[in-house]
Amino acid sequence: MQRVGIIDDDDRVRFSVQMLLEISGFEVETFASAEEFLACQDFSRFACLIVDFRLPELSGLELLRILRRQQVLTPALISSGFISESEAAEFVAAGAFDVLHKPVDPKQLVGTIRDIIARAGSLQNPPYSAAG
Amino acid sequence: MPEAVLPLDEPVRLGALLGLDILDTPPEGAYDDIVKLAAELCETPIALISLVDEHRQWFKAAHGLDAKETPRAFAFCAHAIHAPNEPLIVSNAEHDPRFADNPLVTGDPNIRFYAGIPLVTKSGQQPIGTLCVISDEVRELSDGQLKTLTVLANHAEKLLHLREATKELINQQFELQQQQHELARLGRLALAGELVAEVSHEMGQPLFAISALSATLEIMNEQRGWEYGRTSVLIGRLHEACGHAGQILTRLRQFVRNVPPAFETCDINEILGSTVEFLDFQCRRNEVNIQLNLASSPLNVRANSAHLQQVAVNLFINAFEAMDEVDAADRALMVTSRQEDDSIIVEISDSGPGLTVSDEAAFKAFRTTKADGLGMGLSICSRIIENHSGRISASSRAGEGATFRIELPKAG
Repeated sequence: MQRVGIIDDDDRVRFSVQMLLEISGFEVETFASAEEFLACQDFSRFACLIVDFRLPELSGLELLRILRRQQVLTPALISSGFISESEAAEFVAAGAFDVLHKPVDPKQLVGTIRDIIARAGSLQNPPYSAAG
Repeated sequence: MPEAVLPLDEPVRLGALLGLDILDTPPEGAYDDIVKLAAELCETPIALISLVDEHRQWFKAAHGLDAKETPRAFAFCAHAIHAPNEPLIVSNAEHDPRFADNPLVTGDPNIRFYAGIPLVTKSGQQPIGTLCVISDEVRELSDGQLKTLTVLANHAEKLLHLREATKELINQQFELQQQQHELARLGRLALAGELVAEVSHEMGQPLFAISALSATLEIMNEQRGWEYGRTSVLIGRLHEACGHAGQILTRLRQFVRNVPPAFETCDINEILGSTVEFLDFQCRRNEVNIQLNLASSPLNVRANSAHLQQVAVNLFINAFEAMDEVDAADRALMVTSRQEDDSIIVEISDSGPGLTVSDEAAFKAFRTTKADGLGMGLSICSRIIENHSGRISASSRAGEGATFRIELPKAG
């Protein structure tokens, strides 16, 4: 079973996305902050991450950069509320797989995660390079 | 009969005359007195304050003459205005080639003698007419009479200047009003932009939760995976997310509620508090640490609370933007409120680089150099505070951030 990590400070979003992904056949772990996620150390257990762009202390972008610096290349989807094109571009430059605008269409989210996992499985390298 | 040659700057001259908006206005005592005195002291049957229009001369005041106007082609005054700095004196029109065949000389009122002092506008020094005395007898003016006529002409000119200044003031006031309306409109647009950012972020959260939960229920339904406890939890969470969305809308509605323009007594601390709440998202996005240092008791002012809130929002966002280049750890916004004598003081200090212009020039510079939301914002801020009989000022020291200070009269 594929495990997805959700990093979001909004309890409602965490819970509902967890429910959606679990019923869709994924295992889910949730984290309320970037720090909480970084503390888990073993990142290899995640097939995919869903990161809120706006997190209380370390931002989503900073988390992504830290992970990429540590050569953690887990595909990451950024979920964002209000984000400018330049901010979205920054995420992509930092190695985000895609930026999703809230409210994210649930079926699209599930589909995208399946795609990411399928692609990662079929390629030797993840579909992007370490950056940021 | 040679008509008076048009002055070189005739369009400018006519513009100055029309700008006075005096043509065809009812008689006014002050002008009437002048022509009456002029006729008496110069011992002539006729005295006029004549204004030379494009095709006529029109009399603002006339003594001894019933006509309100005569064609410009016959006007002595149209000649007089060619030399704005000296009187035109014609002792015997019959012997003057300029006027000998003038119908006003050959027929009624049989002008022989004319003395006119040009009247000149204050701005642009445009000759628009004359104060003149006219007689059907060949004669001269004594030195004393010429001097008197000149003094009276000065008085007439002063009256015209006063009218000119009043007109200008009214025009300026009108322009100012137009500008204020435009500024207020732009300010509302800028605020609307902030609101859209706020709404789309805030609403995105519960809507995301709602859509994920309903999709979960849909999938459970497809899989016939109903399980009483689990379903109840999901439905409960759905209700909760809907409630949350509703609360957000309620809060936004309160924020932009249509407050009548009337002033009401309101607590400045409440306004500051709700502004901080409103900007919570921007604040976190900009990673700014807000320190609220508000007076412990309510600070009441007579105000349009929506307008004051607009000022606070503008100053906060201004501060956020000023701190863009500062290390996130050092981004601090200090908001203080207190009472000093009969005044309520609010200070909003940021830890940005300080103002790039002199303190006094800050608002002026923002007004003139920036046309975006921020520049308009500060300009509107000062207008709004002025409308509240208050003062807004900015001060800064290089590297120590900027402080905006608002002073409002305490509600009585």
